[in-house]
Amino acid sequence: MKEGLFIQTWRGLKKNKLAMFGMVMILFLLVVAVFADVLAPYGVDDQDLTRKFLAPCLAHPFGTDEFGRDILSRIIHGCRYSLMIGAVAATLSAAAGMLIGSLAGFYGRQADNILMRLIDIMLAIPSTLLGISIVAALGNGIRNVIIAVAIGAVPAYARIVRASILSVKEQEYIEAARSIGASDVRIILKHILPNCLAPIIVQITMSVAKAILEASSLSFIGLGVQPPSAEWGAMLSAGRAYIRKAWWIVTFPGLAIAMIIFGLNLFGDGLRDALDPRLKT
Amino acid sequence: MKKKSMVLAVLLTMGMLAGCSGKTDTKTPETTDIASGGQTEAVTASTTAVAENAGGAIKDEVVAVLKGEPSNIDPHGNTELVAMTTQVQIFETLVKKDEDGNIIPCLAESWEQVDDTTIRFTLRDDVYFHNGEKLTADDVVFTIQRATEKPSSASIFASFDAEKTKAVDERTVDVATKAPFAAVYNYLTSTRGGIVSKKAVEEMGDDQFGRNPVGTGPFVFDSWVSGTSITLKRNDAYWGEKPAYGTLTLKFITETANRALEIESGNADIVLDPDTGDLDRLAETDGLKVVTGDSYGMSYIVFSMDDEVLSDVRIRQALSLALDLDSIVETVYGSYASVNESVMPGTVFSYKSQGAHEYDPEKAKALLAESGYAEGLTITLNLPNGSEQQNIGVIAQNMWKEIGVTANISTASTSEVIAAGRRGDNQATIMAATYSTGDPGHALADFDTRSDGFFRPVDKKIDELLDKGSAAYDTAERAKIYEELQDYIYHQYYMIGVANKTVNYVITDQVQNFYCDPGNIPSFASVTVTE
Repeated sequence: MKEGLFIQTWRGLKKNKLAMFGMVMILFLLVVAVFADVLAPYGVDDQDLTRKFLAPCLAHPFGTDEFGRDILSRIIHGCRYSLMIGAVAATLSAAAGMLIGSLAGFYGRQADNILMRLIDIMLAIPSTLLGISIVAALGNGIRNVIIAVAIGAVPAYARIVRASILSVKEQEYIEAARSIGASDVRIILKHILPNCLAPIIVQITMSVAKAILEASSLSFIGLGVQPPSAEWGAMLSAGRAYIRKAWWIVTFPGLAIAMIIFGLNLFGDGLRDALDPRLKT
Repeated sequence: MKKKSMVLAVLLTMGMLAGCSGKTDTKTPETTDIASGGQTEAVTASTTAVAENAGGAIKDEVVAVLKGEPSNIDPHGNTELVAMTTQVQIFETLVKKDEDGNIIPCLAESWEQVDDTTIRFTLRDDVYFHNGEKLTADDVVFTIQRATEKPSSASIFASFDAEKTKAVDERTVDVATKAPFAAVYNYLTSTRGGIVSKKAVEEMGDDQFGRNPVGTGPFVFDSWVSGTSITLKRNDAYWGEKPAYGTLTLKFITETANRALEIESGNADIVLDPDTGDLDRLAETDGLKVVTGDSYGMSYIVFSMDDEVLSDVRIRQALSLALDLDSIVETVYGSYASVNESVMPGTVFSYKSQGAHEYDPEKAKALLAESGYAEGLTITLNLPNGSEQQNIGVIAQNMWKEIGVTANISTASTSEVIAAGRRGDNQATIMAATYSTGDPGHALADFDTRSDGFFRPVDKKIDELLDKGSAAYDTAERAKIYEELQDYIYHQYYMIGVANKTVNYVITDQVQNFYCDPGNIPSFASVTVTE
């Protein structure tokens, strides 16, 4: 079953040129993140105060910032943070969201009512605002940013999983499993969740993009990673004071953010199309 | 979904253009909460003549841009620089400083020292508040009592004796201090000394008074559009030289880049607190001028004095030796600051240069090894989230790395960093402060063990010298005491003075008679703007 889904999806994806383009972009950034130490021409915090505000040139393809640090190297290192925050936050929120969604969807009635009303309350708060409040309460730093971003993404998963489960749990094969005495946990994990996988996968791809963007926003307003770590949002924030005289300090981190979000969204859209049963012929 | 996310991505990329900053803090550190009051209210006959000679009609409205919105305009109700800038236009003090820093009459026409702790002021007879009430000794007594009671001004007015300050007759008032206090006039010139109308405060209550201030100054409060601007009108019943124009508008723009744009696009005449990185470009812009002068402002690195690790003077010295202050100051401030060679701003009375800062990483490493940290040391550097402090911090962090010291930076708002310091949670921090009294007792007050300072002061020797300095009325003797105190603090390395900052303003070519106030609290009463 799982393999079938995978191969089917891959076939659908291959036909979608934009999605493939997005995937190549993501793979490229993954490689950059993994080999950051090898690829970056300079260290992440190699200051050279005599070489500050250099425009893009051969030695510094993206120029240097206000402390004479190489922007290309910082963007390469920053890729790690963005991808790590995106991946960890999406995983955490997916796990929490799936748990809540399954419980609500499977048991229905009171459990459903209580859990989903709580989720509704969370949905009512704009996710960036929620993120800011959580970081303000927990303190600055990358771990707290991940937690904040993950919490903000839980409701979306919970709702998607619950909706899918509601449609799956009345199926005959679930009743069959129940009739041979399978436990609730086994039914949820073995029979229900695998059949709800498609929307969850799409949601994960999309929420990685959202998490990266949100983490960058938090760093932009000074709540994210602490100096001298290179994070794209923080680089944007520090460089914005110099935009009139050194455009490259903000332009390249901005492009990097745009690129990763663009790639993830193209890929996510492609996946959704490939997984959508209505589009399968 | 695709479209929405794309728009979001692009928006974030452009975020810096839109200028949505959460970082620009409008509050100054609490150490800066004193400010010189009414400095240039009186326009002299000669300056008016200059304005006329400059030719052209005079604009009836002057627009100045502040870096933020005050929470109120009560001289005793806040610690914000932007509020003080607004207060200076509306309120006046008993005495004020002239451009050379001499104490000259303002609301008091004369005064005499009755004894070591009492000064008798005689008030002018022709001063009326904006509500029409005549200024009397009761208002002065009320103001000083209020200043010693309100939380925002009490620490600055702690030396004043509210009980013994009393009216002698309608125009005479005895201002008393608890102990002999040589700098008393400097404190009276601060915005905290702005005389409020007793009747107005009692009728309105503190909150409403803070939104509808009543003073005696050259401008009368007119209106306040929240989040946008405050409008003041000329005080037509003003006792001194009246402003040459009718309306003064103070706009609030928190984003530095947008403040500069406001004057570049012709929507403002004067901009306060421009970004130093932007000044060279603005100075070259047609029609704009950058006005720069020495200020009472400095930036410094300070070590928590009761910290276990940093209580070893050798470690503090090593941290100081590792810093190439010349490069730091040049990088962070460009040409708009000089290296500080003491522990208080270079403009403050009795400043004594300790010679060029010693930069010697090798010696620093040796000192660290000697004190048992040959393998390195990890400290926490708590930074307020102003760009200036952050920039110094990031460079210092990098320089400390060279001698094996890892500084973990943790950023928070200025008030939070100060609060953490008071709790004893700071190891090292970087601050920017302006001591607008220009008094060394004020500039060094954070070292006083009896204060609730965020330095966590523990050194009683400093207290002794502070007390001696405060009680010394003889100028030469006073200077000597404070010089000794600077020598001591400097060589204990409790603080590393980083930069003597300049104060910078951007004005248009049409602006005349703009006085570059070193405390960054300029009065706009004497300004004229030609069409």
